[in-house]
Amino acid sequence: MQGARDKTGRMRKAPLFLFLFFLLLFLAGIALDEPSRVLEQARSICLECIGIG
Amino acid sequence: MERLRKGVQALWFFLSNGYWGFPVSGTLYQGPLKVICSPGLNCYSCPASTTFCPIGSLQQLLLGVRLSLQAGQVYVGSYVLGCMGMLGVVFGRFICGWACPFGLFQEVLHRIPTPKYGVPKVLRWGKYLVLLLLVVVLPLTVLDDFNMGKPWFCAFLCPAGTLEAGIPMLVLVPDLRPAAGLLFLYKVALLAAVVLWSIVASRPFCRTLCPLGAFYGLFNRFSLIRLKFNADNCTKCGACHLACPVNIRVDETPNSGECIRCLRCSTEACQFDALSLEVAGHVLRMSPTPPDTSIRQGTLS
Repeated sequence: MQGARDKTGRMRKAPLFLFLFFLLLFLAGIALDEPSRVLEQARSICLECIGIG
Repeated sequence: MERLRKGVQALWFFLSNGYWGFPVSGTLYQGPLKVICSPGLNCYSCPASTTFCPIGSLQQLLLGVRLSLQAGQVYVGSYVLGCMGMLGVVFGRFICGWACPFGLFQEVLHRIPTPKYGVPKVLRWGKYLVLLLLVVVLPLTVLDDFNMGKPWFCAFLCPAGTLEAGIPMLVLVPDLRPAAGLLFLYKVALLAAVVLWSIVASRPFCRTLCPLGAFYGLFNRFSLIRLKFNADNCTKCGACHLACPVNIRVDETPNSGECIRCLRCSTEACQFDALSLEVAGHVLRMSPTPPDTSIRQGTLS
């Protein structure tokens, strides 16, 4: 991924660091098997969430 | 460019809600795509939904975080937050303008010809409060007897859930109808208020209440896709401000957290090449369209 540049043409580092931070979070989530929990939630209807029940 | 944006919005609407077998199956999509994060606000209890809603998922993980930790499972929302953060860093609120189904819904409503009104600037802070309180703090801290929180935003505020899931599920599953009580009536009234507000004001929910917009807005200054303002070319004519659907002074704060990157300012309003799109440091020059006299005369709503 290429970083953006600021007004003086220098590479902006903030987007790169932020992206790496969130990529690490994402990978940590996968390592902790969070996607399976997300999938389980997304496959069921949350009646409370939609105002029923 | 506006036609292209509408096409992309429609495409994302159908990609996010692409399961049309629900009238036959009588239930929502159960496939593996639901592990993919929807970039925009799109209820995953919607029977046609193919992806998960980041705000809904984050709340569900946070409200049950104590129980999952007790069970030795570290489901603290890092996968969902990681997805949201990566989208935010790359796109910022470009997603709001180009890929959010509920944003498209509000834009369609706003085309209904009626007198148009602005949205008071102070209300923009509401979405940050919603993000902090309804999505994070209350689901984490207000617990029931079983040590579980509530999905406060989904349960008490989200109009997308009522529109895409609550009403369709009641139509689809008659057995659910007796369970629709006062809370459902309140949510339908809230949806009606948002619908009416969207007719007379431009994207009011996005500007005042959407927690996903608030989250992406935090990245608008840092995102790889952003607006580049060239002060040397600017004549201070104010055309960009008049064309902006969220009422930003684009010549003063081109990367405001409110900007949804619809690009009307740069592709339809500015005739002097003062605004362009920057993608990862590369400036994309967008050829200006012929002057729009309605903008010049200040007659846009």
